[in-house]
Amino acid sequence: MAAAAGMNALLPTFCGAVVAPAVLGAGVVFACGLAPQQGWRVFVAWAYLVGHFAQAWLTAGWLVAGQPVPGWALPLVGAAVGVLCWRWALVRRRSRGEVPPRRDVPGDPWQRLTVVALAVVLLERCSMQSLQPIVTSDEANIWSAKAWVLFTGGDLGSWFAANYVQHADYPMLDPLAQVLAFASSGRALWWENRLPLQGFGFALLLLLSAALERRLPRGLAIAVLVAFTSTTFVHFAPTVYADVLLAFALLAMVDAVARWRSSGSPVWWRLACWAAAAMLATKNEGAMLAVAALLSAVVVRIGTGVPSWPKPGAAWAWLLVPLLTVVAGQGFNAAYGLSNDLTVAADGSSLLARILARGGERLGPVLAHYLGLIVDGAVSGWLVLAMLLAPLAVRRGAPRAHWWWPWLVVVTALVGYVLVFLGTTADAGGPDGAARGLLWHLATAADRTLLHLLPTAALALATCLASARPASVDADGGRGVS
Amino acid sequence: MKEPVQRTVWWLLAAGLLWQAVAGTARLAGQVWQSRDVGLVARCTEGTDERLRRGLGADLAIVQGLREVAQPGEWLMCRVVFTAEAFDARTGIVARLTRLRHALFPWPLVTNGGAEPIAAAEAATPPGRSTLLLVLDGEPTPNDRTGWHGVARGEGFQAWRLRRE
Repeated sequence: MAAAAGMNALLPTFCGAVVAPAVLGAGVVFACGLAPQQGWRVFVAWAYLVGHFAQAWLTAGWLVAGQPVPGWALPLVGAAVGVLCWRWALVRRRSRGEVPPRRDVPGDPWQRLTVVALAVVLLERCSMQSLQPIVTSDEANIWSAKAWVLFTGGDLGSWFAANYVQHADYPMLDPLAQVLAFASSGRALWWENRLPLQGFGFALLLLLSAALERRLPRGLAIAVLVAFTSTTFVHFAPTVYADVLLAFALLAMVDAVARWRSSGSPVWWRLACWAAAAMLATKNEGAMLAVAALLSAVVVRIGTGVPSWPKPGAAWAWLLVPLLTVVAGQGFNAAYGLSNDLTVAADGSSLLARILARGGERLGPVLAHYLGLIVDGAVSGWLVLAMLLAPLAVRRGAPRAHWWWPWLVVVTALVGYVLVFLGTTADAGGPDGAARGLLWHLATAADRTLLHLLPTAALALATCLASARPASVDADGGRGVS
Repeated sequence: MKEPVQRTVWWLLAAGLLWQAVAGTARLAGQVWQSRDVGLVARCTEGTDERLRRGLGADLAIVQGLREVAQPGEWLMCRVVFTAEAFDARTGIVARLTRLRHALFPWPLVTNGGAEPIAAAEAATPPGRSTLLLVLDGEPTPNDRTGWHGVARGEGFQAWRLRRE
């Protein structure tokens, strides 16, 4: 590879692909109205997610322009934009005499300690993973291959035509985060490019711990967080697979909508739009999850009468962020003639047609496989199982909108994933036999689809359990966080 | 919580989650314990060469050999047998070629040459171009065919080049 072996680029990668996007994100989310005083864990987590998403646009522009400036300038520009955003928002708030929002209660030290301990474990796992170069599995075939091809330039079309990048139609946020790592170090890398993706695992822990702390008693919040960390999360978070990033973006979006609904603060709607865009920019499954969220929002609106989206007006302009993301992704794929093999199969059949044609024979194996994952503590920590049962614990008269929203998103998405496996193309011929193809696809992908939902399932579970408590406790989190 | 059913479910769920937290802690501790022999400092300071050696094992010699002879734009044909009986063997060779494919990026581009990679290379190489062939132990070599020249050799492998004039 073009990478210079023998050197270790951890430091420039950390500064350029972890710290700099976080600085950019801090400025952007501060300008959107989120303040560190509302909770450092929440602020840092959002800053990292939004920062990487915003930085990806800068990185993409740098690539499209033919890398006109040295790569190290890229994170510097991002960080500078973040500082400018922060400065602009600060001046604006002062001129308006706005008082920074304060958290209601200090964070629980035991839960903070738990987060630190779990972060140390995750750091240890990341360091072990990074002992191996990225040359195997989907880490290399899909995610790093695309980043290498984007960074080294040349004729992208020929690389895609040669099938060097598998599933080249997959969205770009993950590869662009790796390109930022390459740019920061001035060369393609073998393993350090995991660093920015590993950062999402830590950010997810921060956001989930804050969300749980707002809803559950200390012991239970800690138990759920530990159970979650010990699932497939700790296996995939150290890699460049985009699944943890997608899980994080979904959690962020669902939590932000819940907080927008309970507080009415426009900042949460803005952040929800950022998170939805990040979801769409991460994996094709993000589009399915967005549809699941939309359907759930409609059901909540109809079933409870509680608004699921703002009234038409300026707030709707924020929907342009996810819409532009979809347009950009589709535009890239159209430019290179890329399409998804699930939605448009090689034989021309559509996903719906395959679901209708093969669904009957496949339903049993698919449901059995998912059931096995749901009851396997090492895979799911029983979080989805507990979430599915949790409505039985909800107090009569508890506001339904609180727990319906996250619960419906997870259930709808689960149904969506089952449907996708019913229509898989993995068994379209070949000497391995039809059943082996389906089972192979389930064995290699179903646990990751469940991982996409685990943090949100934990959130839904916490919301249901909070709705079992006296009415004085706000199931969507009336308490502050740290 | 006054409703007994709700209360019972709540406690059952709480008990299940606490159990999962205990089991999860044991799993995490076990994973960390298993890697106790690898020093923390080495994990951060170890260079890329050492990591590549660990990741590629004996195949590092193939990578080094091919890097020395590969030319920009050149493809590398490899033999991959695709039969139901050889599923597990195929999985193994595909995984090996995947490692080589990425370790060699950008050139040569490792390509699946099927069961007859020599014929595949001859069919795919136009005049004025060249293609490399990776021959692993036990695989047929093109030594009696026109246009082929051996370009690298090491333990367990040979590399051949087909050049069309």
